[in-house]
Amino acid sequence: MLNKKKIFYILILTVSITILAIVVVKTFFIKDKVRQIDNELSQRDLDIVFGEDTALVPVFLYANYGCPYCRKFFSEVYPAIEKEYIDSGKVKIILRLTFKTANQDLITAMKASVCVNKFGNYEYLHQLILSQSNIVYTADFHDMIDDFIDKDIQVAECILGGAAYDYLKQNIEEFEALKLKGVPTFIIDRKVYYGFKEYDLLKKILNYHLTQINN
Amino acid sequence: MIMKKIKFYPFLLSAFVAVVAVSCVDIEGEEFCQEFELVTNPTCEFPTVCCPDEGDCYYLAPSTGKKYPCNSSLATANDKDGCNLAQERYIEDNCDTKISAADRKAIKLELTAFTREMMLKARNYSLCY
Repeated sequence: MLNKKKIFYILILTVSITILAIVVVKTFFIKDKVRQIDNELSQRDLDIVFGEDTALVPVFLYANYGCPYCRKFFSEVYPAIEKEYIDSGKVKIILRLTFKTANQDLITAMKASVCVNKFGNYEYLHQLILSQSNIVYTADFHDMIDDFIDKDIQVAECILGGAAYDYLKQNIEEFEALKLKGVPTFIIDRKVYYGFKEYDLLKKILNYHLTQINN
Repeated sequence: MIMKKIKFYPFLLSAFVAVVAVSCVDIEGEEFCQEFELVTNPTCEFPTVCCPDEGDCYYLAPSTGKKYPCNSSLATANDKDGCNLAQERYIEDNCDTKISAADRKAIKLELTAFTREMMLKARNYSLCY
């Protein structure tokens, strides 16, 4: 007959083995699954797009200039992606500026970014904010935005009207509705890729999606 | 005799599981560090910037492990995180022997000029179609 002590030891042994098995299986055998969102994202009018409209794979990138890893992506990874995938029409990156802030300087800078992108040439403003993200707090930057407003009625309406603000608000609402964890986040064909990706890894991801399209 | 030895196995196994479970706790999110390029002094050893979940970020000298904390209460429009002073202190401690004050001034001027040039380009070409 088993006495109480023996039953106790057998119980502990069983529980321990079970926990150990779970830890081992979780650590060594279960690979992280890529999360998938329910609905496909579609490009919006004020999105900042790097690449051709007809590109095969749209990559939705939730990012902002204040985030160090977003800047790292643009300065270290994007040039190679541009050369290999964007210039060849395979991929386009749809940048959705996402920054939940009440800071008026930041909001104005983001509004100016989407409006200049829509009605002007965004390349130089992108490079400027990318290299010195704190520039948006300076008087020189404010003067430049005022200059844009004075020079171009469409840009002025976009910045001062509600369009750009609504667009940025929509980005945040979408970001929250999709339960994304942070920036940068890439969404390709409903699949969510969190965080900064080195070129080699992003290349594998893009090649995978290109293969899926070709099949 | 054998039973006595067996009695200890559950405890040993439990201890092992506890060690594995505790030692494998994911610390991601507790503190976020990244390699940081100190643009004002290219000959300096690159510090690491760490941002704890609570409290201010700080620069970490790789060789000495010394921390240079930012102070968000000193933040200004041009120094959003209140890190300028921490950067200056890092430079003072780690870079002074490598470049002169004049060189440092020259580098800062060069950086300012670079930013101005980019600002000028953005101002002039953003609305050109």
